[in-house]
Amino acid sequence: MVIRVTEKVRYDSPRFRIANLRRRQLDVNEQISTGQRINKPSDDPLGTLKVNSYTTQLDRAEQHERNIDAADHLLRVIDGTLGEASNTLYKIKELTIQSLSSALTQEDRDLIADEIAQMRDHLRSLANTRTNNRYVFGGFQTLTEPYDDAFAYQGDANATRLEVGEGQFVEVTPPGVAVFGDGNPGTVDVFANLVALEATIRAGVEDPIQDELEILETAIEQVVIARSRGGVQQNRLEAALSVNAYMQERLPGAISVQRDTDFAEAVSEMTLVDQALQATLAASSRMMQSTSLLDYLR
Amino acid sequence: MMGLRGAFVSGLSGLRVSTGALATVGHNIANAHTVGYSRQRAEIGQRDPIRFATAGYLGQGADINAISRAEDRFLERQVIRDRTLSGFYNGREETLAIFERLYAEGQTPTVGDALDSFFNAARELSQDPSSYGPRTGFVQAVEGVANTFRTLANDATTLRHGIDDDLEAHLEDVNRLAKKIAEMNARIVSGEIGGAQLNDFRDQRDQAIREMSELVDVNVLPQKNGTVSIEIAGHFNIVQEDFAARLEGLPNPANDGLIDIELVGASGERSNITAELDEGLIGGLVDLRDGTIAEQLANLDQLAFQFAQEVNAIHRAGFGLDGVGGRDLFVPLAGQDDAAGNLYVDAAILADPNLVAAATDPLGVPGDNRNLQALADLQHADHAVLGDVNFNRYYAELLNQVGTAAAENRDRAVFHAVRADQSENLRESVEGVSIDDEMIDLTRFQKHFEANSKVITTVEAMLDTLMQILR
Repeated sequence: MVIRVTEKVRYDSPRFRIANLRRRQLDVNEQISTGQRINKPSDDPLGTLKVNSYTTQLDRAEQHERNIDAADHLLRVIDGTLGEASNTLYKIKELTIQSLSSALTQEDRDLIADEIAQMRDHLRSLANTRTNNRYVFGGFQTLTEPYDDAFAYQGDANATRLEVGEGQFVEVTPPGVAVFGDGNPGTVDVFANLVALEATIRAGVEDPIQDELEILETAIEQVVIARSRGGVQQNRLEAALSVNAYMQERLPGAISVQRDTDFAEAVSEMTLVDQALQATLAASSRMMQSTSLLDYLR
Repeated sequence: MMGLRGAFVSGLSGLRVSTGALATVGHNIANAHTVGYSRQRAEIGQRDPIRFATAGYLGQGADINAISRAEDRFLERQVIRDRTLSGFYNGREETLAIFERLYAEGQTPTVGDALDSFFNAARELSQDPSSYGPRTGFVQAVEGVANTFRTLANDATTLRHGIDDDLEAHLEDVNRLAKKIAEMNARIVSGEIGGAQLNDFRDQRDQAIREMSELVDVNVLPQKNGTVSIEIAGHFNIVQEDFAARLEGLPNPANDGLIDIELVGASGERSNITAELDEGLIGGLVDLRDGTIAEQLANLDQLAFQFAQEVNAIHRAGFGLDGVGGRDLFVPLAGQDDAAGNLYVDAAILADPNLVAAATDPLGVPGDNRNLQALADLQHADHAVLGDVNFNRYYAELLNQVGTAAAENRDRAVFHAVRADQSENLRESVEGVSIDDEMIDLTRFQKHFEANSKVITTVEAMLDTLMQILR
């Protein structure tokens, strides 16, 4: 059957084709101007789903990095404090050994006792270390001075944990009770023993001083162990950080692959649509202006 | 003398035929761009002869027997079918595009962003639950979740009501077209009594049917008396003879006050045909309103409800800085219905972030961050009611569903628009006007007219000669 081309078809079908091309042109234009291949979910439903879950992972990784920074800061503060605390205890130990020397007079021993008392106060200030307005050795009691004037522990036995990766946690603050003790059995009460040591040295009796020395060594061990635990947490933090860095490096790329415009592709598509449109416009105008029999019937 | 008179009569009839045929050509050209116009044709036939002496019969010239119109019933049906399909997908294209833009990652945070922020704010606050700044940040993140859920639910609901405005307008279109068809039925019945076809009324009726077919599925039933009966939505009679039923929208309280569509018959009887109206532009809009968008809203409600329930359960188990527990973080929801649109943060917590239950142990206040960790852990928890996925994943799946629905509709809209265009072109090729054809006929009948005039002038000259003999 011969298809007759009627007047309406001559004018309506170019309009339909041009409108379709204009729409494709608009789509490609949006892709280029926004730099994104996906501007609405229907542009790529599966890609949208992927981008969404990558974004969730990336947001979480960024938060984990902030948690890592916070944990790192706390662990460094605690490490420094505990280093200083063990040094102080070593000095106390030296002074105590010194006090055992038979060459010393009681006056000399009293001077040593004074020094030990000062160091004990220094140790208390270390145990009451604050950073960002929180006491680090008070367990969950972050706003209360962990050791009061009478060296009584005011905190609790909880260690604070922070999430630093998917299902990964580090213990950022050991409770003071695990480091400096609180008088309950199981730990050495460092401060009570230093109080006793001072008194014993002032009394000048040798055997009890020997006993105190042994306890002092246990106390030093307790602080050093606490410090090394912090070191273990620091190592876990390093591991979490390297995973985190990997995630933050990889995810934006994965998101970009799904979402961003491939400019080479988009520009060539643009060129293609432009050419098709120009050709259609030219052909349509020719068709609409084409001569009919009318032009020859004069 | 009989012969001369016969030649005169024939010539005269030829003039009549050529002017009539020329008028038809003129009518065609005038209507070359009239929507729905079918080209007409003067059917020329011989007149009955009369007996001439004994030699035989003498022809009496020609007559226009009928003005016929080009018509192809098969293509007509094809056009109607394709327009109904095209109407379904193309009519809702715009609304669906607006709907999916609600989910697009743009400048405003989406529900997915807000969920991410919520879990991360819990992690941020867990660094130091005693400090006020991060507590404020956390409460803002909680409010962000409530806001984005409400905004999305409200926007989608507004869109559903917007569809109703469209529907009402299109129901009026159907009513207008039904009335037009009925009116044409009446005029055709009264005008075609002699057996002649009222082509121009039939064109208008067919055009009205085609326009109606874009809106609803129509079944055209031609009757013996020249009228057509129209059934829509499967088997509901909307036009019969000169009667047109009406479509009316009636708010349905059970469907958020959105309209049900009722057909009002001759004696005022009403049938609710909302469920049967599943084709054409109206069917597409109803499907979008009560199908796609309503389903997505229900999914969103389920997500909001489940999220609020789980978060509240954990939050109630924890304790604020004041050591008091048992508080809900979100205002408890009555049920899953409209959960997303009714998600609000507890007013007391909004006013005082210190009430956020960070601690699992009242004695652990202020440093206890374990309850915040429990909230953060929710991000990984799969929920059976959500199809064994976590909150973020469920939202991502909603995005995927919306995107797929929009993408599928777009593809089909283009496909069916092309199909409808093609079948319309086919119909046009049979029924439409081609200027070339008309030019040929124009010339043909002009020459015809000239030839017949020549017959008459010749007869006249012969008569003159006769008169001179008589003088």
